[in-house]
Amino acid sequence: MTQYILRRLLLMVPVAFLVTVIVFTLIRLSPGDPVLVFAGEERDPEALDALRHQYGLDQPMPVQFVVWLEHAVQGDLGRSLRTRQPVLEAITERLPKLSSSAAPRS
Amino acid sequence: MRSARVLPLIAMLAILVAACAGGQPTGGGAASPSTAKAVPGGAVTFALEDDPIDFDPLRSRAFIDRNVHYQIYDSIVRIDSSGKIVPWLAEKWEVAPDGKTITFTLRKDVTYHDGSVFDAESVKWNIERYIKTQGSARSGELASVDTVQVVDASTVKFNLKAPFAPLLANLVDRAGMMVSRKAFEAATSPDDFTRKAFKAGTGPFMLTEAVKNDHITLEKNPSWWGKDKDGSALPYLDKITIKPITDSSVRTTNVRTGDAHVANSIAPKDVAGVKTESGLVYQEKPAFGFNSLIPNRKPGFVFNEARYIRAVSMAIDRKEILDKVYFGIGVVGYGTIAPSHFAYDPSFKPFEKPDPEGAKRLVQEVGKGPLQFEVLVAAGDALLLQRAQLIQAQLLKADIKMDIVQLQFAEILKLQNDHTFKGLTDIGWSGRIDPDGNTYDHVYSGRPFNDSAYSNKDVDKFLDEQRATSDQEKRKAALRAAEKIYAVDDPARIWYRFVVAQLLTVAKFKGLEPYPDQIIRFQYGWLQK
Repeated sequence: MTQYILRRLLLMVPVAFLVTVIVFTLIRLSPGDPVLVFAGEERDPEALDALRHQYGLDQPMPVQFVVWLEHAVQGDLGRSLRTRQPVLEAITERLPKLSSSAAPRS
Repeated sequence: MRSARVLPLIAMLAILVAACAGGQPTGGGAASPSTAKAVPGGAVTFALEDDPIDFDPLRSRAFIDRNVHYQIYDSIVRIDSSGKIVPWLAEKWEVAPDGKTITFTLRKDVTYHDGSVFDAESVKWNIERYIKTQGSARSGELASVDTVQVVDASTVKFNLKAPFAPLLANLVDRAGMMVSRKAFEAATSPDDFTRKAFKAGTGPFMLTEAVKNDHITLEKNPSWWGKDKDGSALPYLDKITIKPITDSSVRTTNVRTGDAHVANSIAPKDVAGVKTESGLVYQEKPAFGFNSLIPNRKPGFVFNEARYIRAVSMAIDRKEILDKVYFGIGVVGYGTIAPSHFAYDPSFKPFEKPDPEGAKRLVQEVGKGPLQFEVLVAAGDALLLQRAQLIQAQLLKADIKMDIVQLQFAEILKLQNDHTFKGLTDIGWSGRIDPDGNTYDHVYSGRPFNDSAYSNKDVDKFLDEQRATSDQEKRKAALRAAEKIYAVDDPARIWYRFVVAQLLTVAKFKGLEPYPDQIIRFQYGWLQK
């Protein structure tokens, strides 16, 4: 039984990895350009290139993935495109509210 | 003793005036005609449409941020409520006859919230930071500036690469906002500064707390330089709490119930209700932003034929769009020069009445059969879909068939920027103080916001002309001449509406009026006791 649980747990690692690869690829392959959304009412090619460089979007996709993964395992999930707030912070900020609303109210 | 008896009388009168003002729809007018004298003190809550992103004017790219910037920072110049540029941190300025230098004389009584002094050195440091920092969102607005020269402590000279009349208007907003060098350098990183820019401005209020997605607290700057017309110190309020509320009806409800005192973005459908409600005052004023249908004029696409663009412009009923989709909130428009711009021509109404028969004739004249194309609409936005459907029905009266295609916003932006969309797109523009900011990048050959891939030599010539002269009359003539070409004769787009600046306050919150840039000037607001 212990062995079985261990095996399942170990299997989770490649599964989780595959999931991140698929999700990452899907998001990057979706049409549209995040830089354009982020730049808002600014469209100077130089400014767009600066933003693209700042966010590493000028790198090949596998490189982008490795950078993202490296940061993610260290707890840095990047910043929200919309609010520029660190994503991890956004999650931890909401977690207490989530758990309190999930718990039965006394 | 006498004054003790008179006071309640004055108070009663004030309440009466307030009650009358509150019950009246005050669309388009000035602030409520209260003769009561402003009293200092009190705290208000501002229901803002979203959470501000960047407190640093250098990095800010969102309209939402400016709602906070204008309270904590002062700019070199500002606009008054009619849209005219007025002195602010600069008491006066002089443009050299050749238009290549602007010399500003600065106020001498200004200090930053952190105690450091505002002077010509400070202007130089700020402008250079905006120009030279990599990834600065301000560098484009200051592209005409070559060097900034300190003449003496209160005189600073901008040397331009070439004459550029719209520069002054750019210094009204973030590119002209002054930040304390000491506060910036004390921050551990630019990120830190962006999110905790405490005590960094010279403005009427100081940022004292910022809790992401919850609230922002601004407190009175007791040593602000501004005075009211009686010479009393501004601002009146002790404290402003800014609460981000993204749902427009929740925002309105918050003002209704008194949980908030003010909001500046009200859903058009709610306006009729708040106008008649006692205890609330609604005001509006034409703003700088516009709505337009953007055709792709590139060869190979249907709107490469300019007569088709003109046919669509003739066939649509702008008044009906305004009334049915926006509940009458806004102004019918035909071009880029908005009612609050100095160059606006109220008699410019080229497509005042829809003319489906004329549109039919134009399509026949082209001789390539019936006109059919697609319009891209951002998915998930009911108002945009409704707008597209109404336009679709209007065009059908001229036998023009428009298919509605819904795509993700990001995808539409990309197609638009690449000029690869097939027919039309419809993405609004928030507007700029100078008409050049609404026009040049949108219709000048090869410019970044020229999404219709438009190019007309005469338009380019007129637009260059108005940039190079600081003579307002000459600028006006050139801007209008260009507008007639890109909106009518050889159309770049189908403009149909100008937006309005809105302001909803509880009746006891006095002194505010809408500004065409839609930003609230809290320093003039006061609470009736």
